[in-house]
Amino acid sequence: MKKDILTTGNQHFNDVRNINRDLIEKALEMRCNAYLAHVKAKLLTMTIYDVNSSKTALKREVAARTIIENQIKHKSAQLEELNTQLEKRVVEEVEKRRENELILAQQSKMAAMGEMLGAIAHQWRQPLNALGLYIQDIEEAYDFGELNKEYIHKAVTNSMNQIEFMSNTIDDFRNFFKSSKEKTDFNVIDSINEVLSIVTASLIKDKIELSIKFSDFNNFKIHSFANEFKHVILNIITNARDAINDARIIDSKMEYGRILITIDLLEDKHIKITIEDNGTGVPEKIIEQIFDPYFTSKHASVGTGIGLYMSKVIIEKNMRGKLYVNNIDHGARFIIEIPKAST
Amino acid sequence: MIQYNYNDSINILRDIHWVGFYDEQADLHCNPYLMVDGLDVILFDPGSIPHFSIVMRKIIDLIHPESINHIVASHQDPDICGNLPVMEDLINNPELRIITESGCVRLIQHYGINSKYFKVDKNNNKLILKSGRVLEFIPTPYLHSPFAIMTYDIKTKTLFSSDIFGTVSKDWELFKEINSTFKAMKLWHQAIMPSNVILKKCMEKLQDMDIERILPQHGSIIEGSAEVKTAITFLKDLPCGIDLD
Repeated sequence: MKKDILTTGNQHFNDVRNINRDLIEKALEMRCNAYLAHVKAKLLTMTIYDVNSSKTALKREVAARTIIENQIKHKSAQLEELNTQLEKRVVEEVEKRRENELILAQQSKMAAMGEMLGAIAHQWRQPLNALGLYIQDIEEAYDFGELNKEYIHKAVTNSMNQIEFMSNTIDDFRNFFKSSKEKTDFNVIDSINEVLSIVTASLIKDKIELSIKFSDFNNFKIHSFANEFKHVILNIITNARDAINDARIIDSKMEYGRILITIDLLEDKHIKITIEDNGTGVPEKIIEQIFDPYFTSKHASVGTGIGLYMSKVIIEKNMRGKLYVNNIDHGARFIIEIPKAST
Repeated sequence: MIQYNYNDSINILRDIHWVGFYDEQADLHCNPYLMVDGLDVILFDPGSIPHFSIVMRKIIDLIHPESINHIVASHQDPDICGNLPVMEDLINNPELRIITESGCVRLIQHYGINSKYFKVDKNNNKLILKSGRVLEFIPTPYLHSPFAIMTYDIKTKTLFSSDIFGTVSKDWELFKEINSTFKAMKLWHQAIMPSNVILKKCMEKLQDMDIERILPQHGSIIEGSAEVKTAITFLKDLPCGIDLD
């Protein structure tokens, strides 16, 4: 009986122990599975999060790129618009510039014509006077019965001489103002002399003494546009003349004007032509501007402001030389440097 | 003959316990051990996920799991390290360190371990416990892992031998007379060890050591220095792995 109770007690104790053991193991297994499930879930979440965040990053990047692309597109459009406007403005400016040059050339021509008309008028005054005398004398000769064949012949010959002189004058001037088509070899002394033949009369009238100095005549040949060169010389001489006349207004005691032209050969095979006068000189504050187009110190009725600009263009662009100015005691000095002809 | 209850942990020494799972269906039995030395609690080769609940229950019977501060992983195999992440999660001790060889760290980190490592080769192959007790680690490269180590407890002259001295057999007992295990030991070593050249060197080294008992990770405990010597002699000349071609 006692043994039975002990056996039953032991049996019960063992049963409880086994149940406990199973329970603990079950709990631990659940814990293990829970942990593994948690690890798996965590892994899955992390993967989803990674995928999501990379998706978001991608979306953000795409958005940023779209914005940049739009900005670029917008900027490109603006640039294109600006370009179009710029092109239009360039075309407009070029057109304007061309028109200005045309006007300049026209004005230059008009100024030259004015100069020519003045010169012609001056040259013609003397022969016109002579012609007038011859014609008036015919009537007188008739009254005095001197009108014979010999008289008429003499009167016709004299008149025709005057008329021929006048006709030559016109030809001379026309040739002078014709622009050169081609470069030719010419001597600068010859060209200066041709200019002088036109202006001497007006210089004498204004009591201006002009002298020219050079060493060896044969050394001063250049290969260029002859008439254009003459225009430059004429322009500078007439400017000198005007400056001298202006100086006379300021200083009434001043009697004789002087223009001195010196021609030298420089060592670097350039010919240097110096034209000095005893006029007013160039005021220092405008000396930088006198070669600009439309710049003039003269009264509007006298100057157009293009003479020196055209001169500078002719010497520096067409003849590859230099034209500059500086003041000397009582006057101005214009200097032209142009390359000598190669032979 | 003593009858052991394999449902519970088994005291091998006063402070060393078997906490394994006797799976009667299996021919390969895994032996995790727990060493309790005052403030230091060391778990040897905790094992796999399927064994976790039983191993852990046996540990809980002995100590609070949070007091475990060292886990020795003798090499990287899943029957040793499979439940490491679950184990460290339940232990939940920030001081916990996994004791292993540096090369092995590279592999076992892939189990998803969060604890710090105690790399034996970086620590002079020695761990000194708070009590002053010294655990020596003996590298046994290529037996069978290139990073395999054994642990020798100087105080009790106990060798935790990992795969070496293991057996494979359905007929299992925790304590077995050595002569009755030779067949199973031969089968295991010939299947898993690469060559006698390597095994012999290890045995020669063990011959010179004072070993009272061997606690293998598979198979049965070898108790007593005479039995230990017999086992060493047996393995010393056993052809295995590539020797068998």
